[in-house]
Amino acid sequence: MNSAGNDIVALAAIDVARTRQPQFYSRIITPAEQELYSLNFKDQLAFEHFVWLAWSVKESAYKFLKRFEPQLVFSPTRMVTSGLHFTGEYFEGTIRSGDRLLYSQSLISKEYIFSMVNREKDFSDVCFEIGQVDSIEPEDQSIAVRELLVRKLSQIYPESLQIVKNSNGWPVILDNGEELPIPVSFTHHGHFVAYTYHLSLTSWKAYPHHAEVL
Amino acid sequence: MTRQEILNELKGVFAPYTTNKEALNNLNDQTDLIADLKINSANLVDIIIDAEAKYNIEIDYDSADKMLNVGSCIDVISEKLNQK
Repeated sequence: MNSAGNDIVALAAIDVARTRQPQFYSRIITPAEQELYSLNFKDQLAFEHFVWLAWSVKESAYKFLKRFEPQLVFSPTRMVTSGLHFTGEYFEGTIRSGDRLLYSQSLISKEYIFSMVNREKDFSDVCFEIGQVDSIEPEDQSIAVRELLVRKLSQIYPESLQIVKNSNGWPVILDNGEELPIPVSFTHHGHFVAYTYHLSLTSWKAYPHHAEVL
Repeated sequence: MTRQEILNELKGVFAPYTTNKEALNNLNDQTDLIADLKINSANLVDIIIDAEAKYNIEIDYDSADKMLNVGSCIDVISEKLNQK
């Protein structure tokens, strides 16, 4: 079984002053991560952006791992990022939770920080899209991000797709009632929504024309 | 403080972070902060810090991790108040 995990943080929705308070950020980043910021990112990133970057990586990893460990509790300071660096396009690194290691890839724009995680360092089979919505109502955003994904996948699947939550509480894509082997993760914050899905070897074999669309 | 008193006060703690007024007005121990109140996970740390300030308590990381529904929030706050 594969999984998916992503997270978006809308920068207009964060409380900068609060994020800079030790009482707040020490619940998100570890002392080692604070040191990493001072050594490597101080000239490149505002501290509050670094904190939310770490948050989004950790939240993504939590969402990814929760599918394997339903009892997993989100505890940001027990998850540790390492090797975080800027490639010129993405911030990439690893994230460890217990004995599980995942790779992370994040984008930082003027408006948002978006992260996703993967088992492999290579993210070429991981697809995502970020959208903007007027409404900040969670229900509206949930509908909007699902529509965004269905619109994208309708290029591959001519049949009408449905996105439902399964009995474990995570979203699955149904094609004529049958679950597709494509794990998907949704996220929303402020006026931004995003989806991420992973194409496994199984889905490539079953749907080789994916390549034409991606 | 009784559990009911804490529950009533928690409505004020959650209010800035939810638009689901119906769920807020019908809080009970089982109300889930994310699934029912639709609070964005990015605000969970805000809620812990607001609760610490409101009750003048310190919520350790292990306790904070448990605060996912109203009942567990009340458990943690009661426990910390009793330790004062």
